[in-house]
Amino acid sequence: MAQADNSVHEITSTKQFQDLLSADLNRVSLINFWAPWAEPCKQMNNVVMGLAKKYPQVLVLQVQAEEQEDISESFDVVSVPTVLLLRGHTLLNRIVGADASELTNAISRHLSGASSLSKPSSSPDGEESDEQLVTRVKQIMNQSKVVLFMKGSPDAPRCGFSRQAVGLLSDQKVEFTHFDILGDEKVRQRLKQLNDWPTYPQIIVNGELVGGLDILKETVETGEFQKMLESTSA
Amino acid sequence: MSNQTLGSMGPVETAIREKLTTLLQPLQLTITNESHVHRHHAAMRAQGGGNGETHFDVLIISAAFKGKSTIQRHRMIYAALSDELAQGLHAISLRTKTPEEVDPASAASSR
Repeated sequence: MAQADNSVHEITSTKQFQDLLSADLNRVSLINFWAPWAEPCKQMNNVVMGLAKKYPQVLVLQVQAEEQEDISESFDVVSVPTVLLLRGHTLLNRIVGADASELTNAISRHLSGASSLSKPSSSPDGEESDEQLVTRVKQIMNQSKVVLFMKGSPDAPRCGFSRQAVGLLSDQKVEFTHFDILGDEKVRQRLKQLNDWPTYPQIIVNGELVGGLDILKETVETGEFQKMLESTSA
Repeated sequence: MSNQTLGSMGPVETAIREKLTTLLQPLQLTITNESHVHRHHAAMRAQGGGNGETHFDVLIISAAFKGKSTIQRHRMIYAALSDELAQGLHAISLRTKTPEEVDPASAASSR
């Protein structure tokens, strides 16, 4: 289906924003929250424009976060740049900070998924069976030796406890990857059930929950954490 | 020995105190309400600032923790407070000790 050339829109009102999003609930959209006074936004704006050209099927919405307060608040945007990827009204990813590579990876992941007919893992509506979700969650838990499920990202933590966990791991020179549970509500809830642990951050070592921030602090203090890292995984 | 007058505790703190006391028969249970520190954070703003009982720091000394790993101790507490966590209680910082861990000499003196 031919898209209008103008797939990039400057948002000037909440109504315009809602109308554009609701026009096609299967379409992937990219919402770029920015501010003219924030230096990192310049770089991110360029990246967004490049992606808009590369993927004309994506609806790109430029939102000046401070001018469109209602929209920013409804998506819980507290800093710029923040880029959200949605399919229809479903939040796929939240990228906080000028992380060009994270955005580029995320958008190509979601677009290739939607166009591939043979991929069984999710339908275009983003529906995923619980079994598929659990498999995905476990894959993420095993994506590296140490995985931190946190709010935000190590460069831009969205919670004091998550920030402390990042700081502690960095101080200990531990190599780790992270997963931002704020960008994936399904993983956020399912992991709590799987690990029988109601809060974040969660520190995973060798695919298993070690605990939250308190336990991380304790095990680092006693040296137990370093021992865990030295033991080889199955 | 309680170090809080009943009148100053909200319902969530009261529930935490009652449930943990029943479950753990603690030697010491100190609950500090830290909600005001987090009031302005994004998640709390979205809730309208929370109800003043969203974040607590809990220190418990109890013999019930003997032989249990830290993660087991934390799970015991989370399980006891699952209703509260499902509602307004957003986060709890936990410090869990047995009497011996706090004061090794007490192990020698206790029967």
